Amino acid sequence: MKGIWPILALTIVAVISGAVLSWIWDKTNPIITRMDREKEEIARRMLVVPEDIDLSMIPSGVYSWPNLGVKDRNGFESFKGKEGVQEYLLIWIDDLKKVHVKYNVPKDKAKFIEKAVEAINKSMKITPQICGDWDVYQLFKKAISSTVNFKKVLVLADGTKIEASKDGFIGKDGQKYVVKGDKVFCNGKEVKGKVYYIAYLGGKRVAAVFKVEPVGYSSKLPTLVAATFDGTVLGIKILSQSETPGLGARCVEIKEGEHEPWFQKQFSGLKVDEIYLTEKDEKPGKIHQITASTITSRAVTKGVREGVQEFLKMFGKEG
Amino acid sequence: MRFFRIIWDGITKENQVFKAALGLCPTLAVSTSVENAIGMGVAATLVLIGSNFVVSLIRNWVPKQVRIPIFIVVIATFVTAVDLTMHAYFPALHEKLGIFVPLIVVNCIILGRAEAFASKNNPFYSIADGIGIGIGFMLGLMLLATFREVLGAGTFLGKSLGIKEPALIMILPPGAFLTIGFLMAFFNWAGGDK
Repeated sequence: MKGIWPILALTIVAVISGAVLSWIWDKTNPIITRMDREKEEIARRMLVVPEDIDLSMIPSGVYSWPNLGVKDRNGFESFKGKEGVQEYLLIWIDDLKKVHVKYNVPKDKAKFIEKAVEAINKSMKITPQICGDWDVYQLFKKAISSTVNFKKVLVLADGTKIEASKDGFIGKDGQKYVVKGDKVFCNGKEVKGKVYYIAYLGGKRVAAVFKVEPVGYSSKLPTLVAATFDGTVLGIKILSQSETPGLGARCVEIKEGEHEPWFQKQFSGLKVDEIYLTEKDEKPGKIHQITASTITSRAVTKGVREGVQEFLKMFGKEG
Repeated sequence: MRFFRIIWDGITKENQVFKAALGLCPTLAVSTSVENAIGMGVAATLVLIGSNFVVSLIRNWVPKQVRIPIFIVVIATFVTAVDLTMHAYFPALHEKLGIFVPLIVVNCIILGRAEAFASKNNPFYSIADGIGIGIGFMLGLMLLATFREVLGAGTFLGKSLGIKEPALIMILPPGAFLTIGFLMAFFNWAGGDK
């Protein structure tokens, strides 16, 4: 009995730990997955909306952040808050492209909104300067981004494109493709394929958003890339990373006085053949690398470049 | 009171970074900026308090032969639980500290305190030890990070100090070894150790 006790004790501790952890996992995992999905969805929309929002591009209608379910003018005029939603911005763009708002935001932001609406109606544009405050600008941008519509297209390795229908991705031969996370399955078998989100703004096809997943120094770097059909990058967003703090992790660093990560911002507006590092790369490009983090910088740059190349190969003829 | 005495000792006499030279791997890795140092310090302190408490509770019941594996299981469970809970309920905090939490599993200070203190003392004093050692670790990290960030990046807590050409080597690994060498020498000299 004496010889068994240590083994037993270790087993008991391991079993208890396992039970505790799986209980915690059951509680937390749905929340974490949901948050990740929401974060990705918001990022996808925000990437497509240009930094300077031209109101003539935006169809008249009612937009809100977060989604308040208000569809038309009557809904806007009778709106008096929604249960459970404390902070919101509701925008109604009328047929003359005049902007009306209803909002509930922290006091120090409210004064900016009133001023911003006046300025927006004068210049017909929404920009960070016109809004005067970054958070307010972000609120406007988030609300406007609800106007972006996505059509999901699954592209298989051989170039076959399958548009998503109500029942999911159904191929020509009636095969059903199931997308789970970043993997695509057909009849239970994994097949190579990638989902592209084709973005429509005001009924016009403006860009595509897709995910690339380069491997950095110590972690995967899932990154959303938005590109127009002529191959110009609109923007990228690194969704998660666990690179070395102080070095590679600076790929998401926001400098003092700025609002967006400087490394990722460099990609905006570049063409495929410009997406190289300025130094130590196959070709001189336009991306300044993160000091002492060549591997991370190169991984992201290469991942984005190859993603855009593949996207152009698949969709280039349509553009 | 002994409770506070233990906390004070944890910060000074038993300082794990400068006196015991334990936990150097995370110390050197994350002391590139003061913000990281605070993050790692807070996360490690929380885990230390928790694991010290649990280990102390089960101390009389754990067979000698398998105490190390059991302590490791307890610590790993604790770290994973903290990580998951923080991710789900405090996402903003997790975004900042997230990278440090998994590092704590392999932090030998936690196992060291479980073995050296918590397995021999009652839960009340073990919590005191967790607080003291945790704060001592955090202060050590911050001191190291202050030198490295100011000299290596020319900033403090992310704010520019207007240094034109910072010595990059200070935020690279050699800078870490240099800094800790000098600091350790200083503390041993100041503390009167032979």
